[in-house]
Amino acid sequence: MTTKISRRGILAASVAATAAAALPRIVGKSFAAGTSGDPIVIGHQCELTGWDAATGFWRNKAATGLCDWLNANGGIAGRPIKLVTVDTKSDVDAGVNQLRNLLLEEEVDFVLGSEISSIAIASNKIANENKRLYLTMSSSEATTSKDNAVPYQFRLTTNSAATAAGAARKYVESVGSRWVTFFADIKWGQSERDWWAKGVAASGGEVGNAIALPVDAPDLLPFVMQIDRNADGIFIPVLNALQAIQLLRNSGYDQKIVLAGQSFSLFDYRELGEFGDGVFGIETAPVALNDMNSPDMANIYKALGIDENGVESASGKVVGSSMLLGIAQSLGFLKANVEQSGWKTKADTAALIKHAESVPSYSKGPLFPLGDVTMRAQDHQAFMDIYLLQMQAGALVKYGVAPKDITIYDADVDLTQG
Amino acid sequence: MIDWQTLSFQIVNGVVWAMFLGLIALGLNAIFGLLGLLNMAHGAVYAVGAVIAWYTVSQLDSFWPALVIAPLFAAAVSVPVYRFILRPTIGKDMMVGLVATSGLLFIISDLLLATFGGSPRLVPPPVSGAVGILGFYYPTYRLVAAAMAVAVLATFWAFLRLTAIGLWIRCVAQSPTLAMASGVPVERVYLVIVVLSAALAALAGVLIAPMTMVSHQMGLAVLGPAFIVVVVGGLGNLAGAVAAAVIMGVARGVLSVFLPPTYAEVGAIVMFLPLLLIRPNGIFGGRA
Amino acid sequence: MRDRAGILISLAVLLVLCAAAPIVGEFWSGVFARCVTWMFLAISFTLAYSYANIPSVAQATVFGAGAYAAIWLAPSLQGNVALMLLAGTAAGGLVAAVFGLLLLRMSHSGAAIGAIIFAVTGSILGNAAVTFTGGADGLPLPALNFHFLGLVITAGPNNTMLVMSTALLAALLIGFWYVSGTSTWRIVRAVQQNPVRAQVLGYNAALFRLVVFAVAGCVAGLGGALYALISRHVAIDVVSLSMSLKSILWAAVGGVTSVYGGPIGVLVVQLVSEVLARWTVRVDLIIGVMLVLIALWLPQGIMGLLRRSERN
Repeated sequence: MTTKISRRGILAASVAATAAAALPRIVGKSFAAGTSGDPIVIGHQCELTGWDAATGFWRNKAATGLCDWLNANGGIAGRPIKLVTVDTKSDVDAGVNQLRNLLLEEEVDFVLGSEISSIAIASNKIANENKRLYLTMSSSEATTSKDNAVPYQFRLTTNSAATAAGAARKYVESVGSRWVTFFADIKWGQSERDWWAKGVAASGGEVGNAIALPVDAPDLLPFVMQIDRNADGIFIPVLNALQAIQLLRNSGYDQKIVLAGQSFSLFDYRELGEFGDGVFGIETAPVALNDMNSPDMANIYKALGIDENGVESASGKVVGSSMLLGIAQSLGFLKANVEQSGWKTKADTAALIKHAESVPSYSKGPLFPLGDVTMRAQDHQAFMDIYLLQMQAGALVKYGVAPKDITIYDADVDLTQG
Repeated sequence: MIDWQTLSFQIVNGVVWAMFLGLIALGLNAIFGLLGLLNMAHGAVYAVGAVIAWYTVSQLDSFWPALVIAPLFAAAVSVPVYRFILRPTIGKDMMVGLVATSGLLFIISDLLLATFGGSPRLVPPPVSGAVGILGFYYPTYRLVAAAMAVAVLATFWAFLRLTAIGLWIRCVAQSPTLAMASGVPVERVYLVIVVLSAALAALAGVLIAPMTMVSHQMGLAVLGPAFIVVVVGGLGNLAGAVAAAVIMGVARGVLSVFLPPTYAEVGAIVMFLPLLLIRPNGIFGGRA
Repeated sequence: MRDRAGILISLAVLLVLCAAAPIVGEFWSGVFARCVTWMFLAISFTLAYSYANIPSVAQATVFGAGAYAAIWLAPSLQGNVALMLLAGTAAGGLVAAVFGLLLLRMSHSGAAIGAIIFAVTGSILGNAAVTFTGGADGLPLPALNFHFLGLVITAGPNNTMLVMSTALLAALLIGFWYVSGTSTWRIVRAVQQNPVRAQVLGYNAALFRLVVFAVAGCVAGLGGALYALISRHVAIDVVSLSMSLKSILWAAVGGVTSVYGGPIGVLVVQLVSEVLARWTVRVDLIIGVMLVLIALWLPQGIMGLLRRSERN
């Protein structure tokens, strides 16, 4: 299944993408060129509003643009795709309710899931009950482990355990061995803190103290000031990372700063200005095309109206590239498995999952633009190269790569037995 | 062993932050005290101020004009909002005003998301650097902004004491009926209060913008603490609210030296419970 | 002083929900079921605000206590739904009694702020105490064989749960309707309208308010336990200040002067949001406009409309 991206296809897709961006729409009806048969319906449970709207913006953009692009390039198994997007409002009750809407009213075939772990955890079980495949976008390790692992869920993006395992070693080598963590005192922050401590310890470093940031604390300074000034590096899993960095730099902290996985999708890095200089991040994709050496990613950028520096022309915003990659790989996973397993209707989804468990890896291609991705059948978790990024002279550039092999951690479930 | 340097830092910062909280609480206090409205949209106006600060910096390349633009904008918008939405709710059950202002909160927040977008932004401090006080370095901008906040609070106090409108406001605060009977233009006083309150909230948003992260939802988090200091300080009592804000800020700072941050934050809020029990009319008892 | 029109309308609405559920399909009956759990919360606020004279901005905290109690105790109660509901009710009542002991001694606005303090504190601590609450990720309802009075039932947003919660709510409303005609209730009204006068007349005003507030807590706790059974997942967001604010808006839209208003308010706000979400992302904007219009045109809420027509 090698699909070449034609220039005309890209043109058509970008026209469609621009039209799509012009008006906020909930239900996307895509046109289909060279496709036939009933559409495959993909539901997207997305954070269009609420606190996580910043990352939702990019997942929505990517899903809409890439489904249009797929339709312009033969669809999936020759069938057109219909994308139905719903808004979780970044809220558990609304998110779960909208998932039920997708499953029961829209009767979608597959779901691109929420990025918020609480919504994802509550949703994957409901998708599982309804025997619909849920491709989670949450990067919380907990959503695919122990009680939360369900057969009808796969994750084509990375997670906190994998990023910590991969990135900690690299950063301990290049920054130093003494670390502190400044974490949001919520489930996500605590879990990032714990995985980072594990990763650092495994690499011969140590995390001295961890400073908690209470929920909704209006002023960060009282907490920032407690960070040990003798540490080599500061690891920051907080949602208001922008504010934390500005305060740290303003208060004379000159330590190296590492943001938690996929933080650069939460905001436009250029907002940091001079404060951002030297700040590290952990992402699944760089931002600028020349850091990727990937004609496939260049095509995706073009289809979505994003320039080679990662700036979207319509909004002027810098792309949340990890979000984009997560959606692309999820769609790539669907395309490959639908076509290879001969999936026709919802009744074939169980067989599709069995087939997907037998596929150990996906090769670099149009929807896996940055390289091979391996799939661990036990917990349905994908592993990919992790990019260590750094802000240098006002740009976010590639600092290093943690190859996917070193991001692998032990699975605590085995879904293939069930 | 007590780390005196950290302790003194936390106390200074607590007092400085209290000035901003006091400024936010000021308008909330006036509207609650005079119009009897629990203004849920107050935090959203504050967010609008911060967003205007960001636009000013990105369009005009300078922070300072925002100090004028944001309050003027908020004041201009507040006039029709008062006429058509707030005025009809005055004197009715507390719930009516709460529903109306919650509606405004929803409207403003969603308009902010639609225009400003979901990504948070940063406003760089217009005054950079840090000054050394008591052996630690403190961001200069915080001191400058705190001084401005104090100046605004003092001006407002003088306005209440020295101008005719100020006198009327104090009359209405004591008894709207009596004030109306003695010829005070109560309607105009209400309008002035609403306009001033909106302008001050927007101004607070501008001043705080360089210390925080500008986002469409930033108004929600300040509402709780602002309401707390308003009531603990005593409804309609300007100095009381500032005093309560200082107590909260210093307590948070001092507690955070001895306790894990989350407990310090909780402690700084919970210690107001006994105050609410002992002094039901606020720290200083009466009204302004 | 029994509000016959109020009880009839609210019972009719509940009946329509149950009758419509099999027709409108699984999704909507799930939406209805969840709405019914929130109706308990809205009613609880009305009870606290209008009859205990406590503007409790922390009713969601009480609701959350009921929800967590049901989840925590589910394994040791071996899926006995009646006992889980009882546990939720008791937890809600207990938390409310503790809150009430403090809030009663405060001024009216002081009590509102006291409640905000409880709500904010509960939210901060609940978010941090991940081991107990699951934090923002929440706790799942354990997979057990649930049974209610000998009948095996499936937890989740299904018709059985809808009928069960609606029946409980109807019983509650009928119970309230009955009590509101008794002489005891006249004392509650007397205390609410003028506690000092009631005290002088020899009634223990504080005790009456506390009891009413604790009962309001029981109602919220019961709703919370039902919410846990229907959502099968409880996250700490359920105790947030914004959830409490939501409950106040539901009650106010329905009409805070009538206990029967809460259910209507929940339905109007939630169903309008649900339908709007199919057409636009600007749901909050439109809901905001709706709230403003309700404040202007229906200051007594939707139930106020009824009173107005009665007066005419």
